[in-house]
Amino acid sequence: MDRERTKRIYDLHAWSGVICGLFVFIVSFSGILALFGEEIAAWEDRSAYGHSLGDAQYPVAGIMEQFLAEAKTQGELLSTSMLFPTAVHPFYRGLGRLRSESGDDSKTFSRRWHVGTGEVLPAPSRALSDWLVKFHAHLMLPRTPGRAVVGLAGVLLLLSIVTGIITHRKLFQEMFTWRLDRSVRLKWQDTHKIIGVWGLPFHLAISVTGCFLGFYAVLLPVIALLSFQGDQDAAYVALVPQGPPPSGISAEMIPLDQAYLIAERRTGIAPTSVNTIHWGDRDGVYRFFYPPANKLILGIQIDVSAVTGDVVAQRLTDRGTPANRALTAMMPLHYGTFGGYWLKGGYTLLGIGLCVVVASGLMMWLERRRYGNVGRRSDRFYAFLGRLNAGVCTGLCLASVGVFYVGAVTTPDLAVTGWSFFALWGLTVVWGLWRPNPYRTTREILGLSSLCLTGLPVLVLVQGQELGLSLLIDGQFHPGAVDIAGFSAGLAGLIVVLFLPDQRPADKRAGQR
Amino acid sequence: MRLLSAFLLALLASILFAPALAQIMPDHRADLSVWGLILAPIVWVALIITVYWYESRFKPAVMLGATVVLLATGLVLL
Repeated sequence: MDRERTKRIYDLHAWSGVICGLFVFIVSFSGILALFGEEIAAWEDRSAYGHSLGDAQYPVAGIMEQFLAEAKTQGELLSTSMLFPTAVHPFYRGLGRLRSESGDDSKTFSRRWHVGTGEVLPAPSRALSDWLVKFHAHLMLPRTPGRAVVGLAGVLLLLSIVTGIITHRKLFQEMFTWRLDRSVRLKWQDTHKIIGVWGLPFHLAISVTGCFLGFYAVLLPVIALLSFQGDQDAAYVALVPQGPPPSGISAEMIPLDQAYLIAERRTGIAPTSVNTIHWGDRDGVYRFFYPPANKLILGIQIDVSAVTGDVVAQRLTDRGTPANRALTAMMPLHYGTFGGYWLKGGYTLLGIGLCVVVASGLMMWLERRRYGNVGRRSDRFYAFLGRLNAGVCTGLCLASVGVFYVGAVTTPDLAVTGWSFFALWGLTVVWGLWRPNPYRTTREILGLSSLCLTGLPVLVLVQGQELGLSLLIDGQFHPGAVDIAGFSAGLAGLIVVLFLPDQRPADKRAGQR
Repeated sequence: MRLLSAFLLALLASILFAPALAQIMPDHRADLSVWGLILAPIVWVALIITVYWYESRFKPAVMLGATVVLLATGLVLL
């Protein structure tokens, strides 16, 4: 292979990684927490502790009708969903999408009911989980441009991966080379390569799907405009098939419970949610959704006529073409929703691996310049970059753990959670820049973050709630699992911190400070 | 300059390839549009790397010229 060309691609790999490495790290790390958005929502919803699925379920039909009537008083109803009780959320949950006053966007209206009595329950607090999920999805910027910015991180990651593959031609050999007894630079280099190569399929999948999810909302109107000569409605109908419009003739609807039984009998498993389409019309339909059942799809749908009770449609995806299958595989592949908790655990480990690859790549770049013969800037400049790197990366860990505590000391609110997150992160960056030794900063901040994680069960106790273990014994898996997972992750973090060096090994310059 | 023009050229080409194919095969334009959505970022990255690989053949002026041609193509498709 042409040496000059390989060097050019290597430079592209190094520079794209360095310029955008911290940004990619932020998106990757926040993605790990976003994987568990629903579980964290169950953990922070203290008012729901003590609720369980139970045996007796209140008839859903009355709840649905009450919800539809109430939602219609709030504005023009665009769609409604009823989510059936699950182990994570043992309630009936109603979600209505209403046209906003401006008409450009939609707003939501939600309610939840006790599974046994049908009593309306107070709205849950989702400040923490909403913050963690939305920060990853669109960095809390306006939705569409925010997603595009995050999508750009996917493009940069993909660019780094492909250029990395081109420049590292001994991939198989690199999978088994980890020289921990050699120089600092070789340690970073081997760590970067070995984790990068072992996690390659995951990194590729996550970057490609991330690009798609990020740019989807921006590209859809552009491509539709070009392919359909500006007729966006025609494009939307072709890309997202719509059912027939309502007939305009009123008809009596069969109760939802009856339709639920029809759908359950057809598949043998209970659906997770139902949408009402053209409610009150002769063409009214109950659309039942099922989990993806270990397939790379968003879910299985069954349409039951709300007038006759016949199953009128049943499909894995909206259309069965390869293009549509690829389209519906994107989201489950990115969020790991097509498997169980083992898959999410694998995603977590591989996600942490991706963060380590990015961070070690940044450290390698700095090592080559500060202690090698490549750097053209002053030692002071590279020292500053090293401290910034440590402050931003470890600060994100501390801020992400710290917001778990915010809800305990203040009224949970998205704005308070957000400001606390940035305040903690900013303070850590300042701390990192102020401290002369980034190795020590990394140990201190990661140690503190791990300690905070181990304290999650204690935090719950302080608030007068049950300990995770007793919640697990009571059959409330998710809040208990978050406590126990947090404690275990914190313990693992503390063990890792014990093995981290306090200063750069054999670093005379750092030692003198 | 080279990186910026490579990004622009690759971005336009990645957006335009699916609609251009849809003009040739109008019966498949819905599927092609979906593939366009999925593959656009991949094509974008592939083209940036191609520009870097064949650096000597992609002068910034040539790339900017190609960008203008692609923009004109987009307008024609509209």
